[in-house]
Amino acid sequence: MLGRENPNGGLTRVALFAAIFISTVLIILQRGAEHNTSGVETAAQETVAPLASVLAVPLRGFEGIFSDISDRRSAFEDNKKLREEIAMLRERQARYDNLANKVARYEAILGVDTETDIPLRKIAARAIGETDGPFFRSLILNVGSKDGVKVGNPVMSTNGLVGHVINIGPNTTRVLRVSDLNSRIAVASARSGATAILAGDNSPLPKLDFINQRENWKAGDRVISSGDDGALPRGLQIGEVVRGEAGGFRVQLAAGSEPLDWVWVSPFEKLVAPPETDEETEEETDEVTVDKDRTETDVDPGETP
Amino acid sequence: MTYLGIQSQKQKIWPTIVAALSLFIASATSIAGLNLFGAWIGFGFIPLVVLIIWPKRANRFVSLALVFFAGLFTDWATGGIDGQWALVFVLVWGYFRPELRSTPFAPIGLLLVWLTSCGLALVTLSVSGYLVDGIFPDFWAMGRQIIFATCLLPVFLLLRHGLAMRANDSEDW
Repeated sequence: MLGRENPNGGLTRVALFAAIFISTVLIILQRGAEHNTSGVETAAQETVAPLASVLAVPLRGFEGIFSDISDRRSAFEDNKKLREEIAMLRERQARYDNLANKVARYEAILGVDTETDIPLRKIAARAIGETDGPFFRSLILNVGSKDGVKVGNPVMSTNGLVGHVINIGPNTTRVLRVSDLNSRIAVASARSGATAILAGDNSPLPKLDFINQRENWKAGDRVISSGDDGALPRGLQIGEVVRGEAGGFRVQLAAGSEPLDWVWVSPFEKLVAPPETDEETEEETDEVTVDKDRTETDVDPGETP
Repeated sequence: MTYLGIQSQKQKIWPTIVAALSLFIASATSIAGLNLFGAWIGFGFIPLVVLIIWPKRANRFVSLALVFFAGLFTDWATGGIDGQWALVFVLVWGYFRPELRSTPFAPIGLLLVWLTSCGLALVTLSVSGYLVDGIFPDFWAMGRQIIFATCLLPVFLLLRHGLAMRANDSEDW
């Protein structure tokens, strides 16, 4: 009888070691393997979502109390700064309107369209869970495939790009944050147009890798998505270039440290490259077609095999 | 009531169910957190609080199985490395072994057990994470999680005390 077994008995130890062994094997199996989200993960995500939604309301309220206190403390200074910014932005707005008119005229003359490919439609979502675990930086949103979200869609906050969708359930979505170790985004400097790859390393300041035209990058440059990888639209606000401690370039994320509550998903369709066809393949295809034609014509309809 | 210290299976069901439910709820809350003063405080260590106040009378085989699956569930819900939290949960439960606990809860002893469990979890997560991803975790973030869970420990103890007194009229539940 299990109930009468000595607590120090060997059976518990055997079961314990078996559980430790299974867990260790599971961990080792993932070494070097690409992390693909499974159906079980989606199911777990969907299961915890209702509880997380309920929890999110008081938690965001609690955060709000503290942010309200600090906001009130700096209200006077903020007000002064905002007035100055409004004055400056009015002037810029006038200049921007003139430029927009000018660009529209040129576009009409040349017959080109320089519009950004950021979709105008947005799917508003609430961040109900934020996993800032030991190795992962991800979010869970309360929208899913039922709302039109697809894997790869960019997720934005009012400040800038938060990440992209990696897993969707019917009602929930998991978002890989830009700072996550597995995140790689093609970016560009808004000032010079030079490109690079923004590589997350779980730090608050992801690094710029594979920098093209290093001389065209400098601290203070605004970083936007380049759209080169076809995964994200061009022009999404990402952050600002800063010098890292080791001397390399890093990016201060625009949506880095803010508490995330409401975000939106841009239903951007990933660009698919046309199938590559080289000359040899084309020739082979032609030959096959010719052979096929010949075979078809060679066969006498009256003949029976 | 027990006769000569032998407990019936029926008496072990309720503590097991209550503990398992609490652990799964705590695991589900692992995906949440608080953003205070510009720092993110995750709830990742809350399930460990439930583990160290695990009922002494719970069926240990069922408990072990549930602890293991709660760990896997946490891994899936947080999108982490499969088996990582399962290993942490099983190690903490195995280190603590609730059925071997002599007194209900001596405050200093419990604090020591809690801190050792956190240390064990920290080392396990770091080593397993390094093995899979080749990097060490954000220790500051984990430190904040541990401090937050430590602050919640008395609250959980109080809840447990209330439940134990209601169900068994004794702290020794």
